Amino acid sequence: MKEQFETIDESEIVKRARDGDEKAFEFIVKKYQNRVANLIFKIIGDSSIVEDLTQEVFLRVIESLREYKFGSALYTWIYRITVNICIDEIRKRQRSRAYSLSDVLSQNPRVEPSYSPVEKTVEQRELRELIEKAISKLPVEYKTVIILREFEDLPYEEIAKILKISVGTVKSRIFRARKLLAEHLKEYKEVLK
Amino acid sequence: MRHEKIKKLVSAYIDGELKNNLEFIRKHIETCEECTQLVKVSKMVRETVKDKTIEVSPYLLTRLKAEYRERKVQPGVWDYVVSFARELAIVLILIFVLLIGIEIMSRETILRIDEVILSETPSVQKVISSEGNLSKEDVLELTLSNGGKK
Repeated sequence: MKEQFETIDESEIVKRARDGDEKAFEFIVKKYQNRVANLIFKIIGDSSIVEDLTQEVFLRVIESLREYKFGSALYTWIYRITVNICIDEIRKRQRSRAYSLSDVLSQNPRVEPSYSPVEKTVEQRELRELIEKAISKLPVEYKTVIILREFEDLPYEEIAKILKISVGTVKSRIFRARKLLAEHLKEYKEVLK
Repeated sequence: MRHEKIKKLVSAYIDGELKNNLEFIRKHIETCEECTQLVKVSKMVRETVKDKTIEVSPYLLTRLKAEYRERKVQPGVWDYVVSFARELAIVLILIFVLLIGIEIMSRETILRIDEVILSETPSVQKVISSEGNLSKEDVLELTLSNGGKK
């Protein structure tokens, strides 16, 4: 199946999926499922909910395939749906209770994150936890841009398209996010050296 | 240039999105501790964010298909609301059309009654036949005869 679709233009695959071609939709899911799952994991910070939200993203994708505008990249559209679902989830959680990444990490995750094979020293682990905590404290609009930039390596223009904001706003949110992160980590100056 | 503005440029420089003032920003980072810190923090954030990755279970697609079929079979609350609203709209439109029909028909009847009454009144007939040119005597006669009603 993979070979069958790999040579076809993405817009053609979307058209086929829209017309009810199950294999075409399967190809889209398989191509983007891990990218979507990781984006959710990075924004929400809770691995136990990643599978459910990834499923929700693709259900929304299939249900709204008719609204997809050809011309824009498919991943931009899928990422927009993902970010919106993440924002809904964060707001839902904020309404029900204040949560932190450390709360979440103490839970038993269903999807275990894998670390890079390089052996981490205790100091490095501690530092990473500090940074994770600092990221989790960012307001959702800052967190989203910084994740899209640092994890996905997306240029400002693509981020602007995904979030439907101007490039100037992206630039300024990334700057503010970095400033806040630097402020959060100020007290650990020694660790950061 | 204000330092806050320079820091914003440093952030764009980190992302490779700065087109102008590149040399100026490079030199500034070398001499400014705050901006050096910003670059370091950004680098570490990038490393941390990229460090942990997850993979979805191989059953995601199966679960997804099952969930989709279930949603397709079971109409949601919204479907009920939409179908009820559609039926209600049709009924309201029919009632509206009926009321408009009744209103038009009743107006026509009133007009016809008015025409009959007026045409049978001699004073009106006189006014119509004289095309509005009534003499004083005609007016006096019509007034005394109380419009000529039978």
